[in-house]
Amino acid sequence: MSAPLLEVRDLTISVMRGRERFNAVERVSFSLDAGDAFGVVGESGSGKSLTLRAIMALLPTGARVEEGAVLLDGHVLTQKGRHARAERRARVAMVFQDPLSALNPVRTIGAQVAEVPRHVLGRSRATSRQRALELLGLVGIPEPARRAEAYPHQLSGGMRQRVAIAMALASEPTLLLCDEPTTALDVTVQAQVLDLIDKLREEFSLGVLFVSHDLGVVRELCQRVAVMYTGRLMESGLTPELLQRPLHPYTLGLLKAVVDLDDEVGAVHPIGGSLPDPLDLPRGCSFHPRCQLASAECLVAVPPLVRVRPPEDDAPTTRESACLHADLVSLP
Amino acid sequence: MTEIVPPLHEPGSSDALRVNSLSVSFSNGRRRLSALEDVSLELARGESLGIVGESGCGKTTLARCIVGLQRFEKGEILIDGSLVRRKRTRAQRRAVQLVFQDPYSSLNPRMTIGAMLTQLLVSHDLAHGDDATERSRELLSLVGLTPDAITRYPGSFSGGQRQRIAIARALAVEPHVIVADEPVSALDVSVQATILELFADLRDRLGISLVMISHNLAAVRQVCDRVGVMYLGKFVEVGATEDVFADPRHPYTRALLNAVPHVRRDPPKNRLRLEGEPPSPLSRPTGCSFHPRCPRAEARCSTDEPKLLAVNGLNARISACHFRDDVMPAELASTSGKKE
Repeated sequence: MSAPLLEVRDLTISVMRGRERFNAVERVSFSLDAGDAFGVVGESGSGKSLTLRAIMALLPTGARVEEGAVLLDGHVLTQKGRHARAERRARVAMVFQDPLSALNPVRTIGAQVAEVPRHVLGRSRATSRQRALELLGLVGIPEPARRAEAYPHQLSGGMRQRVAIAMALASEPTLLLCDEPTTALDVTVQAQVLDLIDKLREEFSLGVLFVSHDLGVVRELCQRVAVMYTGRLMESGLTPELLQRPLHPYTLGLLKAVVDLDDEVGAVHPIGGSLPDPLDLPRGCSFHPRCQLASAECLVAVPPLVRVRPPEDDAPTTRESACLHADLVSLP
Repeated sequence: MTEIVPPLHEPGSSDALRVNSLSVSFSNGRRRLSALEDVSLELARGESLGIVGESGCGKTTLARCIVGLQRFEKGEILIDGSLVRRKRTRAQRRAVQLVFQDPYSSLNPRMTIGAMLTQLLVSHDLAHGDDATERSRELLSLVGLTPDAITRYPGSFSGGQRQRIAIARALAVEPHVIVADEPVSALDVSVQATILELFADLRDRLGISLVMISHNLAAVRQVCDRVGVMYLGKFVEVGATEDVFADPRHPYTRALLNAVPHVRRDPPKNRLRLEGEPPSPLSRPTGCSFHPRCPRAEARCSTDEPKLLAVNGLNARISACHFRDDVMPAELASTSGKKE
């Protein structure tokens, strides 16, 4: 079997808070094949964005990879410095939450999209310009030739995000990293952008790694999903299966807490307790103080993410859970 | 153009809030855009109204008018039956309170929670000295916080707790109406539910009326008895929340509902996708302002502006669509993705 497009192996990232350093991401492993969309969901502070930034070698100051590796097509990527970004260039691209801060306000969008073909791929001026128009058309900007002359502030949020996606695609990447790219958009525009990412994934066999706090959005786009809490993966599996039959109490809690349009009025149940202080994570499973299934053994060690199958199901499974009592997790 | 709005409730003293054909426009010196055009609403005591729509539809402008942060050039606002003049009376100011979206920027970081609440109580002459402290503790427990919070600063609270503090502050002056502008958008998904529960609880226990501005339809459905859908500065549909969501009578409402991702079921096939984005209020389309994006539009939609009128056979429902009396055809009504 050939190597997966992206493999993240035991990734541990530490960040500084005040004078103390703590692990904001701990031993995270997953892999992604070409043409697949993989979602990582979690609340703020769960470490999902840091994971994405480590893959792109764009960690903020003070954050560093302590352990683990990121592999692209089976080759380990460098984690630091100029060389790290050069290695990723033209193979990995990223789309951010806020397109306005990702775009240069004083250059036309056509010029910005043409930058990558011109300076990274070394095409001629005319070819780059032509390519930029092609890309703008590809992401659904109407009348690309005219719109290419526009500045970012002249476009709506949805259009800006399309431009950001066009820039990301300019290098013909094999892997597209998305950091909540639809959170700042209206639902109707969010739907359009999700459709666009899905279309591009299929057309170019792109691997898409999609980080979001919104389970519904992930269900729309991603075949597989992993749930993150306090920097650790709690469970992973095929999206519809995982959301219908969670095998970790945190996922179950999150699902019950989410306000969904289908829910009966008053049927939402918040997770008891609150997020632990990352400097002082509970011993063993970090979810145990909020967990109804917790027992003494949950405090002994951090439970590893291991393959499990739902109790009533004999089929082979791709489900993984980091709960010692995964077989007891059930929807009410 | 004046629209005929059939009253959903008998007008009179029972309304905590009434807005009659409100218009607001903004100008940058060269061009003028109308943010609100002839908007009317009424809110009974203890009732909760959700206002939904895309960004730029005027929902926040409406909220700001209601609380007195925004001047309006036409129309009138009545609070507890009394007309709001240019300068609001003290009673009118107390009666309507606002809860902001972002609890990180709406609380003074250098003031303890207790100092903030007692200052408010004293300045409104509601309580003094030890009574004010005691009342502050009561307010905090009312919103589900421990009374020892009065000695702490906003910085030591999480987003959800801060939003509770902001709600306690709004409640301090014993308002009749709370206007909440996107009160859960800045919060984590697992916390949103608790704040929505708190709003529902306050409405039921204290009989407070609530106007909740949100783009989150699911959140509105959890809390609001009625919902109004806005598009380009106007209501396009208003009715009881359950009814509107189950059987929308404006294509825009249907499209909004279709665009919401579901957590517990697969995305429906062949659903209606709205193309494009809301047009700029600077160049409002002729006729029905939704017609360029509307799958249902016919020739007359681009010339005749539909009025906001009662829908035949549906209780207390108004819609601004020429086809308001038709049940939405199948391709528009395909939100029913079956569970697998």
